[in-house]
Amino acid sequence: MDPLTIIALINAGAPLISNIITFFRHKDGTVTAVVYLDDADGTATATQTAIGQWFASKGKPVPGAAPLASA
Amino acid sequence: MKLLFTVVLMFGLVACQKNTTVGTPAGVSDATLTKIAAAIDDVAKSNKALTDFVIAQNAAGTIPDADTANILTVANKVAGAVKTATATTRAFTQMTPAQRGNVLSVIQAVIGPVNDALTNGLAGIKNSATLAKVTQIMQAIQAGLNTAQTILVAATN
Repeated sequence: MDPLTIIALINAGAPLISNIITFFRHKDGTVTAVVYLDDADGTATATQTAIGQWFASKGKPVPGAAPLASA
Repeated sequence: MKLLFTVVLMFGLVACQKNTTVGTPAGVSDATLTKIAAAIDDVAKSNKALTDFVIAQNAAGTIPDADTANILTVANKVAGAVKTATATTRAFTQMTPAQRGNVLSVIQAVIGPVNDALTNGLAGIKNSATLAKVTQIMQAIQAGLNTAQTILVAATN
C-alpha cells in the first residue's frame, strides 16, 4: 500500500495503525520520494489533459500524439 | 484526532528522511532520490502553470493560436517526459548505473525543446507582461530540468 493511500484511509477515519512511522517507510527507504513522484505523475497527467482539450477545441490533434483509430 | 495523525505522520516522514542508509545501494541515498523526485515534481508543477497560463491568455486573446500551439506542444513533451521519468525513477535505487542513465536521457531529451521554445517560440507574443510571465515560467521549467540533470549525472557516476 502506498503512502498516499494510507493518508487517504486515515483521513477517511481509519483506526490508528500501530507503529505507523515504520509502516510508512518503504523497504528501500523512499517514502518521501514516492510522494513526490505520485504528485508529479498526477500533475503531468492533468497537464496533458488540459493540452488535449485545447487542441480538441481547435479541431486539431495534439502534435506527436498517436492518432485515434478510426471506427 | 485527524490533525494529531497528520502531525505524527509529518514527524515520521522527517525522521525517515534523516535515516538514509536502509536498503539503498552505495552511492544512491534516500536524500539523492528525494532530490531527483522533488526536481521532477518542480518541473511538473511549473509545466502545469505554463499550460494553464498560456491557455488562459490564448482565450483572452493575448497569445495567438500558433504560439499557443507551439508552447503547448513543448509542454506536452515535458509532461510526457515527467511521466516517463516518474515511472522509471520509482525503481531508481534498484537500478544499475547504466539503467539510471536512462532516466537522465529522458530528462535531457526535453531540455533542447524547452531551450528552443524559449529562444525561438515566443516571437508571436506581443504583450510584454504576458511574454515576461511565459518566459519566467519556462525558465523555471528549464531550471528544474537542469537541476534534475545535475543530480542524475552525479547519481549515475
